[in-house]
Amino acid sequence: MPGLAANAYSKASSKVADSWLGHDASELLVQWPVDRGFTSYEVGKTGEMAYEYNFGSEAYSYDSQNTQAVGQMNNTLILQTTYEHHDVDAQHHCTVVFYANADGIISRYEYDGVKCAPYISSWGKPKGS
Amino acid sequence: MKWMLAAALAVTSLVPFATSHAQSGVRHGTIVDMKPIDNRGDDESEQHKQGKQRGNVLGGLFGMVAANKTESPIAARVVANGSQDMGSRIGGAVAGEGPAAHYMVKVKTDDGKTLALVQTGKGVEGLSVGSKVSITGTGSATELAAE
Repeated sequence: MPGLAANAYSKASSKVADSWLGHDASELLVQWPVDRGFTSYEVGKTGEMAYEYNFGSEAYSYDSQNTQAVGQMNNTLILQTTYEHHDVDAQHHCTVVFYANADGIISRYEYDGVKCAPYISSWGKPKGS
Repeated sequence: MKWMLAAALAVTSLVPFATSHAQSGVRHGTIVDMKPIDNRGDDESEQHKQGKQRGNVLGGLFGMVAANKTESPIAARVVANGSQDMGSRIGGAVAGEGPAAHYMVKVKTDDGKTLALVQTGKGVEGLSVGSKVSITGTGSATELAAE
């Protein structure tokens, strides 16, 4: 696969993805998640149907506070509390695309990302296989 | 949904030659298979959501009563919050999962192509295996209508 990131490939991921080859795309749709990060489209040049799964984490934010002694007056410590707001960006971990031919049979796939193996392994091989 | 945007950008580099093909006009076909997608992920039916809300309220009331019998204010808050969470879970379980949010629909088009599609529960209302349908749009934007 040209352009595939070197760190995306894993034998375990490919083994799971390979197991879908020859299976009906309908099995994939029922088994893998379609609630978010999923999209499908028809590929104009080949007439294939592409099923694309995007995995990652959504952006979130949290507040933290830190209290430390900044001085002393007589026997009393002077404390200062610092409040901080943190924004954590969304992260893209992996994109997996399965392609189905005109008969609806999965004939090839692609995957890429910095962390594919956990997602591909957890959603797994066809249940019937 | 920033990460979806990031994902979309990543895919641009992943499949540079794949282009979304906007089919013009209407296609016709027959539904040959249709299954609820049980793997719900974050999907939640209205029935389940309402059950959780009712449970949350009941749990909150129970928590208030229990918390009033607790002397420590921290313990009271823990009891109240825990009761709401528990109520929400029980309410959701009692209401059941309800109809699936999404369905897998396999359509054989009149020109011989087989399309496996994801449709919302609302999108398949009135449709079943054997239904003749008109197909508009493509991919995730595909809409089916009974003929």
